[in-house]
Amino acid sequence: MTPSSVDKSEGGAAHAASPPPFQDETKSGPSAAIAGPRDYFDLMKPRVMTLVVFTGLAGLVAAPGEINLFAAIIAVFALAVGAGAAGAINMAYDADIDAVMRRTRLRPVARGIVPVSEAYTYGIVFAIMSVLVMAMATNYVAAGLLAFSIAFYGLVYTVWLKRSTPQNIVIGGAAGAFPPMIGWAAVTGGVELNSILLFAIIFLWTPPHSWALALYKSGDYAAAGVPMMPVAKGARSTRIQIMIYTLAYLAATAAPLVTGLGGIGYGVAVIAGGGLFFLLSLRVLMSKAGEANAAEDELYAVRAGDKAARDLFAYSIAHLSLLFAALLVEHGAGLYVPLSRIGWIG
Amino acid sequence: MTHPGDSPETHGSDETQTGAHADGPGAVNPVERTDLSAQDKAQRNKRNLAIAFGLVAFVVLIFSITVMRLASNISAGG
Repeated sequence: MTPSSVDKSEGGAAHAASPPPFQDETKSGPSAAIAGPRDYFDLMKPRVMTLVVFTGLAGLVAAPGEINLFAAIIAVFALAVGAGAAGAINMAYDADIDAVMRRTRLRPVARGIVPVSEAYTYGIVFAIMSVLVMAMATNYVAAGLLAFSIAFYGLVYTVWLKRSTPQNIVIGGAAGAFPPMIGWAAVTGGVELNSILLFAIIFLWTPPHSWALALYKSGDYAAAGVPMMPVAKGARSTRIQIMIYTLAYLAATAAPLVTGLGGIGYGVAVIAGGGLFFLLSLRVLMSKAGEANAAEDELYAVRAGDKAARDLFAYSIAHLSLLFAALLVEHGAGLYVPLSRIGWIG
Repeated sequence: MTHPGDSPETHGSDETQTGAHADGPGAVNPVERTDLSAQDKAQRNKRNLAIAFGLVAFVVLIFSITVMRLASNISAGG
């Protein structure tokens, strides 16, 4: 399969030999299980939601100004529900390829326990409710950004980019970068330089994070017909691009130190955490990650040459969490000490 | 609802069980139903409870937000 030939119709043809469970939704027999609350909760991608809540909360806490505590809680809740709604729409549309990939085949729609139509309805209803609640509790800017991010993930990324270009997660990564900007807007009612920096940090973090995973799960993506970078351009090109985006990402993480958003604690996280991020990316660049052909046995099983990619993938989550935790602690617990205090900046 | 004595194929409405309108113009196809296992019924009950809880929670949420906005507007002299 050539990279350029990968598209949705081809993916569908590939499934003709073994129809995925979701096509069978009208044939539920006496032994068919009924989806319970947990299955519907899983539709919202709770693990992704966790990171969204965390980064959104950091943006909300780091923003200048005041917000009613109850309104802040509701804003974070609406953000979580909105992200979950986008996840449900994504699962509904991607049920065919999710059923093929080991990493996603147990998702509720992919295994047929939640019908596609229900997943769409669920996602759209929760999307509308989350935007409505955000608008009522905070302001229209935050609600508008939330609506845009849901639409961007559900339509631009899921429907258009994911199956059509190896740049899918580069452009689509914007959807995941909105939460801190939304949290910020919930407080200030606007978009400012610092909130754009927080957006940029997550936006530039997404490619090395996602491609590290794709390197050691490229077989899954190839089988599903998703033109992830290792599938479309090869492992070596992906490793080079991971390093390029890592450098851009690390530069972006330092920017809040210049604007004064990040203090000494954040600076320590940037230098120590960023150094390890760079080393792990360098290790991926020097490795043969993504080039082994052994079978991918388990969800996060690692082929011999792919350990470097797995380590980068795991650490990238920890690093982003560390940065936003530093912002959260500095601004939320009153521990912010500007770098100008020690004469680094200003 | 499942009635005692119903066969698995005739768990539809009373009309479909008697077949009163099965062949007439505008006939409604009988809804095909199947027996649910005890586990499935438990799942369905949990789902119904979750929907009920969700609806109540949403009403409480909207009410709380409304009160909060009213309070902030009053305290702002609006």
